[in-house]
Order: sequence, then structure tokens, then C-alpha cells
Amino acid sequence: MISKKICMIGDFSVGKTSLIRRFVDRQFSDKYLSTVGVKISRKAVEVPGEAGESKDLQLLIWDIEGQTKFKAIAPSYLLGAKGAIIVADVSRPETIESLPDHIKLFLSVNQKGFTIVALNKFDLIDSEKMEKILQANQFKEKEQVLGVFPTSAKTGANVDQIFADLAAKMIG
Amino acid sequence: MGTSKQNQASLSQQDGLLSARQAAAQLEGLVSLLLGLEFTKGQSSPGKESSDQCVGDSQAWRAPYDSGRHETQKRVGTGSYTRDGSEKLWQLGTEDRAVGFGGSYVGYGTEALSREEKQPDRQRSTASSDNSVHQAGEAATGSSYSQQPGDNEIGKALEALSSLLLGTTTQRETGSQGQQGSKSGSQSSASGSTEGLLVMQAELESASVQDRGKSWSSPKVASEILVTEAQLVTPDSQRNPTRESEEGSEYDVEDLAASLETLGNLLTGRQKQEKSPSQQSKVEKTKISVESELESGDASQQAQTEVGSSVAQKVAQRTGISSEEGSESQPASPEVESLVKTAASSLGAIAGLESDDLRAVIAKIEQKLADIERQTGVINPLMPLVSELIGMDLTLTQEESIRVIVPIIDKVIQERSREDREGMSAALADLLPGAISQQIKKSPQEIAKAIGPEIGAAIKEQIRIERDSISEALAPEMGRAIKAQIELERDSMVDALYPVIGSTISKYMAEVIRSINEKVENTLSPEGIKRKIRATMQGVSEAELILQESKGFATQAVFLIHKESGLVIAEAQPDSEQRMESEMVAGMLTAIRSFVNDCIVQSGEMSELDAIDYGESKIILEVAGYSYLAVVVKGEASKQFIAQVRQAMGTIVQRYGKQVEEFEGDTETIPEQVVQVLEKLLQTSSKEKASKSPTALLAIAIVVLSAVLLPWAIHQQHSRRDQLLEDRTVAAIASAPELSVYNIAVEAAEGTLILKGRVPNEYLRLKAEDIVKNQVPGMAVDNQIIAVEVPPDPVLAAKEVARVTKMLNSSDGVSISTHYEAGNVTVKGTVFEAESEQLIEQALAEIPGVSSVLSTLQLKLNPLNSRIYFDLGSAELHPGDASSLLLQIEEFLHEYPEIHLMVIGHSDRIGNRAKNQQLSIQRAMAVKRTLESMGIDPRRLQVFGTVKNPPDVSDDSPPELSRCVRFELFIPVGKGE
Repeated sequence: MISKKICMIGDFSVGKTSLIRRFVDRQFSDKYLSTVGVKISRKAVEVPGEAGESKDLQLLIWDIEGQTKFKAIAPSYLLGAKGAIIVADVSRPETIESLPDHIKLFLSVNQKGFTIVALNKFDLIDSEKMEKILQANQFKEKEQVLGVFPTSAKTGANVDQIFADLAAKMIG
Repeated sequence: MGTSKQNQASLSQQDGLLSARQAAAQLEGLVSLLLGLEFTKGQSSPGKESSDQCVGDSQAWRAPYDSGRHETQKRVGTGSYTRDGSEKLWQLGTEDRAVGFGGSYVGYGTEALSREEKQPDRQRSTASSDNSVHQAGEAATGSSYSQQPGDNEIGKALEALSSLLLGTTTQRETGSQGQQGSKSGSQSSASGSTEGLLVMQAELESASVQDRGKSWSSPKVASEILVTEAQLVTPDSQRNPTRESEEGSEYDVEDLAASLETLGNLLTGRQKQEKSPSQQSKVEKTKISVESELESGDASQQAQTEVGSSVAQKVAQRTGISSEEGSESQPASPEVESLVKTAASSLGAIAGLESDDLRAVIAKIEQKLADIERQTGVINPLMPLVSELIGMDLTLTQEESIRVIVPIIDKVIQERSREDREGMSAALADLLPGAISQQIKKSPQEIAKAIGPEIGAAIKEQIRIERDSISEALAPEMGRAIKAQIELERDSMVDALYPVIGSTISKYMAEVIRSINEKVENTLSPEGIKRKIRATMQGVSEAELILQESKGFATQAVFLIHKESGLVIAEAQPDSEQRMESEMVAGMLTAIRSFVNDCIVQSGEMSELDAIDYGESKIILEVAGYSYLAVVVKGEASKQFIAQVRQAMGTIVQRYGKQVEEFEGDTETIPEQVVQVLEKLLQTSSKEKASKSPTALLAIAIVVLSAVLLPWAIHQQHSRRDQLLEDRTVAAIASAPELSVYNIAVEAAEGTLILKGRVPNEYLRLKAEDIVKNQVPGMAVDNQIIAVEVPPDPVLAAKEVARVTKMLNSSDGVSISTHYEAGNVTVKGTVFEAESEQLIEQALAEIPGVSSVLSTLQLKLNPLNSRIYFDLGSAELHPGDASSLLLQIEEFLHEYPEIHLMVIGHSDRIGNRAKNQQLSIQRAMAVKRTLESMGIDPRRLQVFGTVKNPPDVSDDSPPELSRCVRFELFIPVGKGE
């Protein structure tokens, strides 16, 4: 089986762990437990191939401690990752502002990696505002950014989608 | 000046008519002639200028030649300022040189012309006439080598003008004689003029020597100029200061002829190489013509006023020829013709004019010439000459040639490169390797400086193009390079490798020290002491106990993990239900490693997490470039196992490094052999456990102990046996009465009994040996007893003799008495047997202190051995027995009164047993009575009767032997003494 390492990158409390929990365990909790260091989760997914057949892919998801004002993300945790989900909290604009830096950091460590942007907690804002945020943050100039998705770990919206898209690109 | 203006006007009118080339050709010819004119004018009209100008002139000549055409113009210009004949004479010299140098300048033609081209037209148009003259002279020289269509005309024009000028010159010179006295400065007379010439000539010579050394490019030209100078100087030196015009004219004409001839030769020389034969011949013609004109110089001496018409005629004549010839080859020849005609007429007109006017005309011509030159590009015709001159100059002086070529060569190369880049590259390509190798030999530092900065970039580029090539190229030399560098500069190598090697060494050293520390601690700790005691008690080695303590080591899993991503490249786990989640373990281990590297290891250090301990288990981490091995073990891993882990890592890196490096999560890209290496590690640990069990160690210990104890036991056994032998032997010796009093030691060693001690005599020495040999048969006896002859103690000897005597007397039939005195024993008495006598003597002789035995023993028969036989059924004695046998017995009994006698009667077995018993008693009683009757005390006689046979008679024996009485003596108790 093929295994790939992917990282969850974002500011603290944007919902990286929740997204993983939703994706891997199909659970959600409102309680906030700060991730210290790194936590690794594993999930096997099936990625549809070109000729209709599907490939088994094991995702090793590194849930990396969120960036704070006082602590940056350790680049060494990003080493060897083929993909990354860059997460922001749509209810906290500053986390969206950090997105370019996170993308830049990841791509500087892994030049051949892919990223996907998850604008998380979109259930907390109205759709009009969400639309505006989406329009303002497309990152279309960067080829390695596969897309920007409004996600919600709480509802599960687009959660599987971002992982599936990333997995498909990594194996492709 | 008015004439000059007219000339200018007439020239300007012609401008539009003449084509450039034609004008150039004609003007070149004209200029050459004008030079001659100038010369003659100078000579005929005494100078008005100060000598300072002369100096300035010569200085101008001294100026570096490579300053180009402007310099030349300047010096010619200087000449143009002169107003008197002497100055003009210098001008001639100058011009002569100018011609001579013309060859030189041609070498610089490109530069000179280019500079000229840069001059604004206006400036040139206002240039002095001398400047124009000079430029015309240059143009003439240049054009004579060129292949311009107007060359033919030039020759002709030159010819015509020369002949004209010759006449003019002589005329002018003659006419100007009177003015010589008015010359200013040091040259105030006609002779002064000559002197001035000489002075200037000298100056010019010195200048020319310098110039020649610097810039004359052609030895031929130089020599020609020298010739010219000689021709000029020699007549001057011979010249009478007051020489008449006729004579003077002749000289001048000759000089001019010589100059022109030289010029002609020079030009011809060029033409020979550059021109076609026809052109050459035309020049020759021109030359000859000029010469002929010169020859006819005397005849042409006419009044100055005639000069103009003569010139006009000549020019007209020549032009006519030119036009004819030119019309055949040149469409523009009519125009040339007309121009020349105009020029000729102008010249004719100006022949009588002041030189200033002439100069003005020439200036105009010069301007035109310059324009023409610019338009036609005189450079091209000059090029072949350039190359030739360069070649010639090389033979003259290499240094000068270099100087000449240097300023142009880069431009030439640049120009050529621009035109044909590939061609230039191809031309240089062959030379480059050799050139580089030469330069490396010559100045390696320079090459290093030049190439150095680019080497890095070059290697990077090569790596980019073909990644393996650089590695393959360098790999074989790396070892040697490192070795060489270590030999060269060890310290720098140490510094370079320290961060890497240092940590590795420190890692190994830490292990070694830890191992030593553990041993030391264990040795001194209670556990260590306890273990030592136990080892001693149990008779096993300490190592065995330590091994027993460390029993339980097992490898639980081996993972090969990608260093960056933390993905599992390969794994080996025992086939059990409790398999670890390898991906999670690998991921977390990688995260921990990253954390340690980021947060704990200080910057600058090269440290690695090499183990994680938890409880009894441990994860051993062996890190390589792109991957690391994580070995999960339970218990304490031995050093051998850690070495095997390292070896496994080394094998993987060496053989499968590329696959590991390129691993991207697909385990199928990893060869199966990698997994086998890991599984081998897993199996090695169990093997190690099995092979190093305590039993094996115990067996080893037993073998070792056996090897030690067995010989010891054998030795002990031998010792014990020897001891026993010794004891037994000593006891045996002690049991011998004669030896018991002596201290005799026995030592048993290697199957030999050694006897040590001292005895009084050899007999006892041998006695002891005999005793030992009898006691321990088969053993070798080393008798080291020393027989010491001790003086016998007479008292002890006497006692011993008495004791032995008593002992001997106790024997049957022995009745002796002894007397000891001074070692001699005398024996008396009787014995029944001869053997008894020997025994007695021997026994006495063996007593220490007895040196001799004197025996007087008598042998007596033992009557008791006799038997008295009876008849069948009878108890009556035969009479003979009573008288013989019984008498001997009665004597014996009398002799030994203490002896009692048992009289034993026997009967045969025939008949009644009771009767026989009775009969036997009766037979004994009969003997007893007889002995009683002989006086023997009946108490000494006891009677027995038996039906048995006597002891020595068997049942098979005749019965008569049993019908007897025998005797046995006995000593009753209490009467033995």
C-alpha cells in the first residue's frame, strides 16, 4: 500500500484537529484541546484511478501544533509531506491573513508538494460573507494550491472533499 | 593670395565635374610634384623664418609617430610656416622623410585615415596649404600602391609635373641666390642655407633615428630614406657656399633626381608586390620620364615666367596622354583629363606666384582629397600593404612590431569575431587546449584566478545536466584526495569533519565509557560483590551470572523509516498478534526526532536521538542520511547486537540508498532484500539468545575447571599415593629390628622411592633396600642411605650376642653357648643339623659389633627322630633296640634334663581297633619302662597310644611302618629357661 504524509497547517484553534477527527473518526466536539507538538492520525482512503480502478492510499495525517504569536510552526514537521491542508477560521480574519505565509512555508519545505485551503467554521458566518471571503482568497496564482473550500468540522461539509482532492492529486 | 583664391575658385568649379577617384589620382600626382616644387622653392628663396621654427619642426618629427596623422600634419604644417629657402630646404628634408615615413604611415593608415575622417570638413578646408601638400604626398604614396583606376594618370601626371618643376626649381634657386644673405638667425647666408640644411639634417637624422627605431616599419623604406639623406647631405657638404646658380642648380637637380628616384624605387618596390604588370610598367614609365626630365634639367633652365607655360604645356601633354589611355579603361577619363588640365594650367599659372598662393591651392586640393578618401575608402587598398609592412617590420624588430600590432589586434579580432563568429571560434578552437595548457604551465595562478570563480557554477551546471557524472568522476579520487589533504593540512580536515565525525565518535565513546562505567559500578556495587561471591560459591564464572541476569533480551520490531516524512520504508515484526502499528510508531518517532533536533539540540551541534528507553524496553535509533532504523528491543541489547544494527543500516544505505532516497510512500519500490536485512536482525537476537545460554557457558566453565582441576586432582592423588608408599615403607623399615633404631626417611617421587638416612654399615643399608623392594615390588628404589661405620658399643654387642644365643638355643636340637670379646664371638655346643650351625654363625655375625664368629659346634644326631618298630600284635621290644636306640635316648635325656619326652605308641590298622589301641599303649609303656629302668625319671616320660599312622606314614604305606613307637620332646611350662 502506498502511504503519504500530509500536514494540517494553520493558526491555533482554527479547527485542524477537529477536521482530522471528523475525517478519521467521524466525530466532532466543541471542546477545545490544544494540540501540543504533533499528533499523527492514519486513514486509508480509496483514490479513483484514471482507468476507473481505485488505488488504496494510506494517509498519515500530521496534526501540527497551531501557530501562535509566540510560536511559529516547526518546518521540520513538514519535511517529507506530499500535501498539506492549510486551515483558517473564517470567523477570525487574522487566520485568513496568515494563509499565504503558511502556504509559502509549506511549499518552501516541499517544493513538489500540494496544498488545499480549508476555510473552516463556515457554519458560523452567513453565506454572503462567506462568498466574499472566498472571492478574496482564491490563491489562483499558485499552481500548487489545489483549491479553496469552505469547510465545517461540525457539519462535516467539504471535509471529505478536501482530503479526497488532496489524496487524488498526491497519487496522480 | 588673389591667385590662390582664383585657384581655389577654379578648383571648386571643377569639383562637381570630377569623380572622386579621378580627382584623387590626379591630385596624388600633383602633390608629389608639389613636394618637389616646394623643395626647389625652398632652396632658391632664402629663409625668412627663424630657426626656432626649425627646431619646432624637428621636434615635431621627434614626436611619437604613432600619434597619427595629425602629428604629421603638424610637422608639415610647421614647414608651411616658413618663408625662406632654408626653411624650405628643411621642408624638403621633412618632406623627404614624409615620403619615407609615408611607408610607415601607410602602416598606420587605418588609424591615420580614420582620424582624418573624424576631422570636420571645415577644419580641413582651412588647413594650411602645406598640410594639404603633405596629405597630397601621402595620398600619392598611398595611391601608388592602390589599384585605383586613375593610377596610370597619376604616373603620367607625376612625370609631367616633375619635368616642369625641375625647370622651375632651378630657375627659382638661381633667382634666389641674392636673398641668401638676408636669412635670419644662424642661417643668414646662402651657405647658411646649406648649413641650415646640414643642421637640420643632423637634427632630422637624430630624430629619424629615433623615429626609425620607434615607428619605421620597413627596413627598405628606412634604407631608402637614408640614401636620400646621403644624397642630400653629400652635395651640401661639398657645396661651395658661394656656388653659382648653374652649379647649384645642377646639384639641386641631381638631389631632386636622386630623391625622386628613391621615391620612384620605393613606389616601384611596392608596386611590384601589389600591382599588375601593366600598372608596374606604367609606374616605371613615369619614373623613367621623371628621370629623363631631371636629366634635362639644365636645358630646362628658363626664366621663372616661363615655368608656368612650361608646366601648362607639360601637364597638357601628359594629360592628353592620360586621357587617351584613361578613355580606354575609364568612363570618367574625360573628366579626369579636364581636371588635370585645369590643375596643370593652374599650376602653370601659379608657378610664378608666391608659395602661399600655391599652398592655398594645395589646401583646397587637400580638402578635396580628404573628401575623396573618405568617400572611396582608401583603407582597402592600403590593407595589403599593412600586412606586408607588418611582416617586414617583424624581421626588423619584434618589439616594434608588437607595439605596432598591439593597438589594432584587439580591434581586428573583435571585428572578425563580429563578422564571422563561428569561423573565428573554429580558428581558435584548435589552439585553445594548447594555449590553456601552456598558460597553466606558465602561470598556474593566473589560470586559477581566471577559472576559479566559475568552477562552482560549472560543476553545478554539470550536476544539473547529468547528476551522476560528477559523482562518478570524483568518487574514485575522493579517498586519495582526502588522504592527500590530511597529509597536507591535517587541521583543516579535522575542522571540516569535526561536526560530523565528532558526534559519531562521541556517540561511540559514550557507549564505550558507559560500558566501562557499568562494569566499574557493578564491580564495586553490592550486586557486583554478591555476584562475585556467588560465582565463587557456585564455581561458575561471573560472566555467566551477568548473562543470566541479562537473560530476556528480545527484539520486538525493526522499522526502516524515512527520515523526513516518517513513512515506513520497510519493517520486520515477529508473527504474533501483538503487532505494532508501524506507521504510527514511525510517525511519532520521526516527530520526536524532529522535536529533539529543533528544541533540544543546540544550534551548531550535530546530535541525533539514538535511543528511547521506556521501562525494560528500548527503541534503538540508528540514523543515516535519508532514513533511520528503529529497533524495538526488550531487555538490554548487547554491544554485538548494536553493532549488527549498525551493520544492517550500513548495508541498506550502501546497497539500497537510492531507492530509500527516492521513497515516496510506495513500499513496492523498496527491494525485498531490505526487509530481509531487517528480518535478519530480528532473527539474530533470538539466535544470540539461544547460542549464549547459561548451559553453554556452564559447559565452558566445566571444561575450564576440568582443565584446571584434573591435573590438580591427579597431582593430589599422586601425592597421596606417594605419601602412602612412604608411610608403608617407613613402617616396614622400622619393623626390621636391626633398622628400627636408625632414622631412615623415604620419599616417593615419580615412581621412585628415595631412601635417605644413615646406618652403621653396608649390611644395614642393603637390608633397608631389600625391605623396601619387598614391600613395594616393581618400584624403582633409589637408595641414598649412607653406610656409616660406627664403632660398635661392646656392651650392646655383648647383650645382643647373649640375646641371639638364647634365641638360637630355643630351636630344636640347638644347644650352644657364646662368648663375646672384642668383637669376636666364640660359639660352643651341639646342633643336630648342619644347617643349624650355619644359621647360628650367620645370626651372630650380623650383630653390630661382631666382626668374627668362631664356632666350635658339634653336630649330633637327634635320637628322638629314631623309631622303635614292633612285630605284628606284639608289644615286646627287640633286644637290639633297647641296647642301641634307647641308650642314646637315655643319654640325651640325661644331657638335657629339662627336656621331657612324649612316648607315642602306634599300631597298624589291621585288626580290632580297640586291641590296636591297647597294643599301641602297651608298646609305648614297654619303651617307658625300659627307659625307667635306665634311670630316667618317669615324670619326664608321658605315654600316648594311637591307632593312627605316624605323621609321615600314609595309609598306603606298609603296615609295619605303623607298628612303632616314636618320641617327641617337650619342655614343660616353667622349665623353659
